[in-house]
Amino acid sequence: MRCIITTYQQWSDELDLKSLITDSNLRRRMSLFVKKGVATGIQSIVKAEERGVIVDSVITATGLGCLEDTEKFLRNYISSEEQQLNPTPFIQSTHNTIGGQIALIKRIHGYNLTFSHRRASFITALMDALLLLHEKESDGVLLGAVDEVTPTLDLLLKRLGWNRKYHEPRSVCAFFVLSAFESEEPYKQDSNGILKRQKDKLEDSRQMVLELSSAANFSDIHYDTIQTDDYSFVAVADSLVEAIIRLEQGASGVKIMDGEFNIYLRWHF
Amino acid sequence: MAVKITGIGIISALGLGVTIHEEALKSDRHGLRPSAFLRTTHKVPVGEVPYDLCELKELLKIPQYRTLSRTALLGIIAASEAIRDSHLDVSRSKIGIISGTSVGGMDLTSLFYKDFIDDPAKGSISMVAGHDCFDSTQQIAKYLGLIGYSTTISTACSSAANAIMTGCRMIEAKLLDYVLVGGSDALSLFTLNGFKSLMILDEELCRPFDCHRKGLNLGEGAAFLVLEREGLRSHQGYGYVVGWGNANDAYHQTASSENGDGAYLAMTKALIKADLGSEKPDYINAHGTGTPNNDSSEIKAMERIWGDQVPLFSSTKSFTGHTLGAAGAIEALFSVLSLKNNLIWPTLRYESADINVGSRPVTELISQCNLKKVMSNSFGFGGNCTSLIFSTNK
Repeated sequence: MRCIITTYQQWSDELDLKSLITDSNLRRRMSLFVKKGVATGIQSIVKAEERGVIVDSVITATGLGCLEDTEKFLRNYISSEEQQLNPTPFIQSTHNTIGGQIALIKRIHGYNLTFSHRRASFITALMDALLLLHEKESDGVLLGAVDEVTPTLDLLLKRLGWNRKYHEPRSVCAFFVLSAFESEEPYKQDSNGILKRQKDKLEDSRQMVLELSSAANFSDIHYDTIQTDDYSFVAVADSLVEAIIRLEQGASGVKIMDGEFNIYLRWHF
Repeated sequence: MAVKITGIGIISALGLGVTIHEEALKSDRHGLRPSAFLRTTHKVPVGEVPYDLCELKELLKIPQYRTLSRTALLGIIAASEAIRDSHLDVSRSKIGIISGTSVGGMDLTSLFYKDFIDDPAKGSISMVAGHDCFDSTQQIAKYLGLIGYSTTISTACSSAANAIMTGCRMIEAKLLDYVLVGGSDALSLFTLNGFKSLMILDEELCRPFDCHRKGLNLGEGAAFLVLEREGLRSHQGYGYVVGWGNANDAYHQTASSENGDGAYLAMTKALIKADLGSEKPDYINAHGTGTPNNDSSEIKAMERIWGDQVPLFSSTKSFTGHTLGAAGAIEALFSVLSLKNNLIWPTLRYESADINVGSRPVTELISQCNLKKVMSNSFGFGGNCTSLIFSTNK
């Protein structure tokens, strides 16, 4: 299964929360983690729209969800002995909060799903996005990876010994807009019978192609290899960002090796 | 590409196993009462599974010293029954697992945090090791020896419905041959206090669709279905999943839009996928939580599709309570049992009609119905709406 990566966006302090999440009431209720995720996702959608791709579906991946709100609500009912309850952190604590809030703000009524499967959260979400494009159920999928390291998580992972053994705590907030790759018919006849490039809205005729495969392929070009870090929740999303950057910097292709899956990235002209 | 159902398993407040659930549904026996195991100061009825942690471990022959969340244990019990029922040889077939849960191992996290809050060095650390949604899915896979594709979906109250949908899509795309789909969620102080804070818990027994409905009763449980591509082996099966639709209400983080936009879209997509044409489902197992907002929004969405000819519908949450992330699977299984028994399950305790909506739910067991197609709805926080359609035929 393959697709085109139209845009990608990582959280950066340069993103303007107020202009991306204009509803101040909505913004006020969000924890910083949710704000970052929502703003990064919306920025990706805006960038994709500039390139002629309309996002109609949202898929997010998170290993641990909204920890800040989860913890706030735990504290809230435990310390008040279940008496004084503020619903806001509970409302914002569900794993699909960011995906839901993006859909709400951008009025995206289409397909919406959240995967939460520890280390495989992102790769299974990516597979789902590719499947959705393959089914022709979407023209543009927003795919996001969001996880945050809180002081409590850091402490608990240390107490579990997992910081050494399994999961080096690392935060991630990265979004990608994926659209269908139709290499077989790059030209389409318009109503006058004239052949036109399908993607003529793209300023840049290059397209970044992603392919998910368990077998080796594309032997005609050289692929740099990225081996994902086995021990991090966010390894695959991090590796995908790194692969995109390498491609933009001139690599002919990049292969991400993650367990039984290989993700291939290359340019298509 | 037909997606066949060849195994089912369930545990809820009604008890353990498919047979007990069939009997309860046939005899109006609900499972809502004050909690026996969950220690809370709130006096509300809940749909609690009638076994404590030790008993659940005993049932599974899991040593008592092992720390496992209630979510994982309930999931293992329901999943084991489904696999047994399918007669699949786990060692010979590559079976995937896709599970849904909203809060994962929160039942133990909540207890842990009580000690941890006073002193960060305190609290039994193994109790948080299974906090994340992955854990219950992984525990099920490990217990059953499943080595195929595995993932977990967490979209609040539509989690399990989305897990079923994802399994169907992967079978249709030939990415999987066999897949165990469903969901599990245990009662926890976190969710109980959460719904309390939203003021949508009914202090009495819930009355879905009733004019005087005040809210939901929280429940817990797990249900799993074995799905497989038709034609792989001879197995009579329970029928097919023929339609699925996922949409977002894009209205509010917790409330449903007045006209049920998300529900309308999810149902419409599922009807198109099932290629029903002008044919209607014979019965809809509604989301029907019992909150004023959900029930009117859901009926309005149904009326947008069918006008005053809305198919027969009911809410089995009046038996089990709202089992959150597991609800989609529990109700999918009830839909399958409807087809199997040719029965439409009633909504309990419905007394007076809501004047704001035209359609009324089924309130008594209907047996003369020749059921062919049943729809199941699941809606959640974040606007996530999913509809599934089950059928006796491909």
